[in-house]
Amino acid sequence: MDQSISGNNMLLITAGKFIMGSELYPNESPVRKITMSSFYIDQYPVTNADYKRFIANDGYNNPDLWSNNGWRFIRDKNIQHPLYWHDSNWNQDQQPVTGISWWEACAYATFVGKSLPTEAQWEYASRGDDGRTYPWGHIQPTQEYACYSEGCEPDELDRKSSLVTDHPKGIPKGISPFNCFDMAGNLAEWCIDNNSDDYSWDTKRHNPLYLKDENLHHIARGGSGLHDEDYLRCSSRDFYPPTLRDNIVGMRCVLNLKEGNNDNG
Amino acid sequence: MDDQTVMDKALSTPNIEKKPSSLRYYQDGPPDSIDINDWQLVISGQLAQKIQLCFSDIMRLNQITQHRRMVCVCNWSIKRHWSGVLLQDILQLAGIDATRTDNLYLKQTSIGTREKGCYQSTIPLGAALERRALLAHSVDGSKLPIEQGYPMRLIDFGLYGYKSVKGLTQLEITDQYEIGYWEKLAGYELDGTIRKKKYWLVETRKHYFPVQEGEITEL
Repeated sequence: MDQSISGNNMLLITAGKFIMGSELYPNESPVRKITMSSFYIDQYPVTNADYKRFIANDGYNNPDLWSNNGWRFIRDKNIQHPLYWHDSNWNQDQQPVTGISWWEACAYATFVGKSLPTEAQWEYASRGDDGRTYPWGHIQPTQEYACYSEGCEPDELDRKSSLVTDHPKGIPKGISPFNCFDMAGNLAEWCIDNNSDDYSWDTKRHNPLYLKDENLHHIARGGSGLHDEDYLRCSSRDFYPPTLRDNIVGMRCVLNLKEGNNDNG
Repeated sequence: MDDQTVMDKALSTPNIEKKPSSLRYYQDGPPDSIDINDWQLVISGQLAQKIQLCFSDIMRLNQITQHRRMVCVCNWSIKRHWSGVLLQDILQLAGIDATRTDNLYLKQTSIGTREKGCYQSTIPLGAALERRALLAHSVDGSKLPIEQGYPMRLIDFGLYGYKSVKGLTQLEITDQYEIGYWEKLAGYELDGTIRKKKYWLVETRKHYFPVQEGEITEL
């Protein structure tokens, strides 16, 4: 089902149809069958080690990597690195990068010649085509499967992320059906899409993308170490302003093949 | 049961032993200790005269208890019995005309700590008054724990908790809608309106998706 790009830790997500959404919450409905084109996705979230190359290559000072709004944002705030870049709880090489706004995530993706996933791409990579609840199937999560906080109640206030290879721990079937790691918990992951109240806008059901204005809220998928187990479901949705730099969101990238996404929004 | 036990039970919140992060987390502190005899609430800015109220001054005002839901931007929520005084009653003492609040904002400042400084947040004044924002000194019949804002915190129930300052010591009426501590640090919204998304309800141990933005009143 998968084929990795040598050296880039990317996996081929083959074209196909999958069931997107759930009936559990209004913003996850209506449930639809979506047709997806093939794309590559990072097997792991972007790590601090990955992100160091962006900083070392002057990514924060190269306007070509940024949208106008993103460039204005980092210039106005004199941003030169992620918010938790000097915090040892979050800055280890194999921890996922966090403390990055949506604009920083986009600039990094541009730097490596990729892009952020659409919400549909993320969900497809996470759950595959069999309608599973979590990346590993339907089994209720435990701390071996993912880093999360039962009842939004982290054990320690002084939290830290796990390594991108830590979850699932010793559970061979714990990764997603396409072999992606860490798609549930630890850090949510920025997607391109703006938030929408539900999926009623999606009439084409082919590579959906909802993008109205980059200054509005964007989708973050997968839950985090601060959020509870319901956020680990493949279809669970959360959203934040593009300015958010808290240690609850990180990123992974996709590489789109020749057929583009349809912007239905 | 005696009267006190009945009262305690009536004001209790189920599952409160489960404490989401922000019930324990205090961005700018908390202060090591607060001497309530030294504490003052200073109200300044665009008013005829700055006023200073000590705790007993505030306790002489009309006291109310409201069973209302606060919501954290970390996606959890809790409905508790908050006791204190209405913001409008405090501002009336300062001579603020509650009907003339266009383009006015309320800047709140915390006691803070030497190490981390003060926490500040600014909210639209008229909307806060419309929503009957509260200056709370007690929750579920007990004084606020220090990590939840002792001796007093403001709560605008239509906004996420980060917009309502714990360990309050200053209110300033201003025409500047200033970015606050948490917005500046972590990029949260200046507006802070509670959004339509899924929240974990601490007291019921269930999730809930609100029907509209702003204060959750339907539960």
